[in-house]
Amino acid sequence: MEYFEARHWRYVLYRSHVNLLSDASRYYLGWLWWFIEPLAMVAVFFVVFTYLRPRGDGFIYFLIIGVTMWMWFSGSISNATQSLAGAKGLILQMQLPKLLFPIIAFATAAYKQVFVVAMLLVFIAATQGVHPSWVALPLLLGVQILLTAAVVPVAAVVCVLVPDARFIIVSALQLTMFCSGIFFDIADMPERAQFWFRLNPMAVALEQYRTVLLDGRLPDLAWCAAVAAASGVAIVVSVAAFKRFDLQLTRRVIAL
Amino acid sequence: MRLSNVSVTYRDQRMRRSGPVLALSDISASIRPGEKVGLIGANGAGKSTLLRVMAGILRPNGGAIETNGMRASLLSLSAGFDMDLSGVRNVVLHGMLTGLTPKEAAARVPAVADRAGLGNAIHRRVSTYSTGMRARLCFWTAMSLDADVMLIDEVLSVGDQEFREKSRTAMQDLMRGDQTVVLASHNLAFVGGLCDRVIWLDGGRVRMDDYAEVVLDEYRLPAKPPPPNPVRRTESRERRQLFVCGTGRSGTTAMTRLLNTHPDIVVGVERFKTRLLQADDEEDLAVLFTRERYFDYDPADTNVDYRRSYRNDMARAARKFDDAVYVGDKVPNLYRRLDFIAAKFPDCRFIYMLRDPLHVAASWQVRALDESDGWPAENDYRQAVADWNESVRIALDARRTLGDRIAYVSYERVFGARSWGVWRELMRRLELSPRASSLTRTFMQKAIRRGQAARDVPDEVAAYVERHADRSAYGELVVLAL
Repeated sequence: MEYFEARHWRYVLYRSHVNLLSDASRYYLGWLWWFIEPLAMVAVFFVVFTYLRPRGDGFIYFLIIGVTMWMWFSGSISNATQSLAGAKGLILQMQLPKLLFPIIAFATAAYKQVFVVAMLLVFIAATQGVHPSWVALPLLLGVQILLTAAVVPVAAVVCVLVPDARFIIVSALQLTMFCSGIFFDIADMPERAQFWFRLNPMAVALEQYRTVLLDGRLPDLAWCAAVAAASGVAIVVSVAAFKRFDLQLTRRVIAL
Repeated sequence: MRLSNVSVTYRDQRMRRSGPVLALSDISASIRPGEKVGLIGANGAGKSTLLRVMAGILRPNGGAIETNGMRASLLSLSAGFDMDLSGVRNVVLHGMLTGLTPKEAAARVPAVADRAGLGNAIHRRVSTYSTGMRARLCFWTAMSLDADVMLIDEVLSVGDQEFREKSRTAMQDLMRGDQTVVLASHNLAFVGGLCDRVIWLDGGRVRMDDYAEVVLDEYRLPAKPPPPNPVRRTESRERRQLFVCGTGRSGTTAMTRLLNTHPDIVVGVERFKTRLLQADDEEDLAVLFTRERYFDYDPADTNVDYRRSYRNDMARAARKFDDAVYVGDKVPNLYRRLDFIAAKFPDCRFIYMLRDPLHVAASWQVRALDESDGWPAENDYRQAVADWNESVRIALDARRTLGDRIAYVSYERVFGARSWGVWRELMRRLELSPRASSLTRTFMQKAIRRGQAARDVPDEVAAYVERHADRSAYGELVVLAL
């Protein structure tokens, strides 16, 4: 029997759809929150940082790209930390591949991001115009998808093995947010600091998004290939690990 | 499905000093297709864990499980529903996990909503449901799925009267069907009424695995044996022998098991078959029914492998033996030696089973055609009628020689409409208390159900019986029978 069957993929699709619907039905403003939440963060950064030091006209676009793409990444990871523990009831009830639950966490965030990215593109196109370099956007999105998919299963498993890891992961996300150049340009930093900042793939990814969407230049293909390859390897390893240790994982989830 | 030496341990990750928890230890059992098995035991005995192992959710730490490709589905009241989603979504999602497409799964929603009595509430979020509504949704969602093996974990103790009745009916239907069912429950009456076989788990081990009535009887005994009673069998009630006989396939075994539900009766199942049928005048037969001899197996006693087949029955017999008023044996063909046995045991009693020749002949024929059965092929319906005629003639003669020492019992009555009347009358004849224990009741109900499920009689057999069976003698006997 295959580890992941067609029915599991169908379930992922339907489940992430349903998750978004239930997310939308839970609040009075419903799906508007998908846009209000990042915009509120943009507003906070905008007010704070323009107050500290007046910025150029493009700062709002710079900020909005950084925030929306970052929130996709961090949202996926924080969903993942809860995914296996939250599915304990179902895991006790049916024989299911445990990888299903991190995948649902990932898919739900990705699905939501489709609308957010669409809105972002409409906004930038309407106010700043479209560059031919936008054709490279799917490449960047693809790289971020792979990167996220590489981190999500690890975060999910770590939180089962060591439940305390959830707090560490949440704090680490917070810290990484400040190091990812959401509200500042890494290129403005001293040469030596730039090297260290660019070890964080999300920091580079945000730079690349801005290069493509705002500056009209193509992304760094070598970097894209390197991150995609590394993520690909990590994904293959974690899928194999999930497959191999699936039943052990069940026992750990039950003991949570 | 076969489990061999399965064990499961849990470890509390954060309480390292607590050590591993042994949830199941060395469990071996096999479950045949179509079998209905009960699972009983105290809380924490490992019932739920065992069901999860059978469902493939948990892999044992030790031992192995073979499923032969059977798909098992676990039904419990913690179905893993998402409280934030509506009943509809939950039913659909649950169905999809078992392999349905969204459309197929959605097609099941109206039926589930209807049976669960949810009406429009099915569109509300599950978090707004009452406990009972949730239980009903859960139960009917799980019941709507197809699985080869249904594993059911204590689902009958919740909900209101109506739900309990409806779910009970649904379970009864399930139990009558072809599906394999394993039912874990604390409701012993229910387990006893529905399951043929019961596995008793105790501290993660199989304590007993046998016929439902045998296990339940044992389970109901107080945990510690009562202090030995200094007053042994009252002297006024002298011990007698009791023999059950009748044409093969006339319900002699069922009658024996029924009798053994009585605290004062111990009857073996062909315990001394060979000896009783072949003994000569010289042989001392009375010694057979002393404690020392009864539990000391000699291969020359019988062709039944007692140590294997009737281990639990013998253990129960051993407990009752000293106080029993009747001890005896069941050997169908003993009717051929009634006078001999009556002379050897001057005080003994006989129970003579009578059954309609149509069903006797049909039953012989089924067994004669079944090659996997040890039943000799030449013992077909023709031979059945010959034996049956012979037994009826002997029975009529015996009435004159044995008088009140022999009681004729009609299978159709005792395992049919007049069961309790026959039981009371039989106990009166044996001078025993007619009070039926719950064990007797459970056994009787089941025997009645089996009796009703009697197979159709093939035309060929029916025609033969019509021509050759001596129904006039039988009619005379049935009038006398209980």
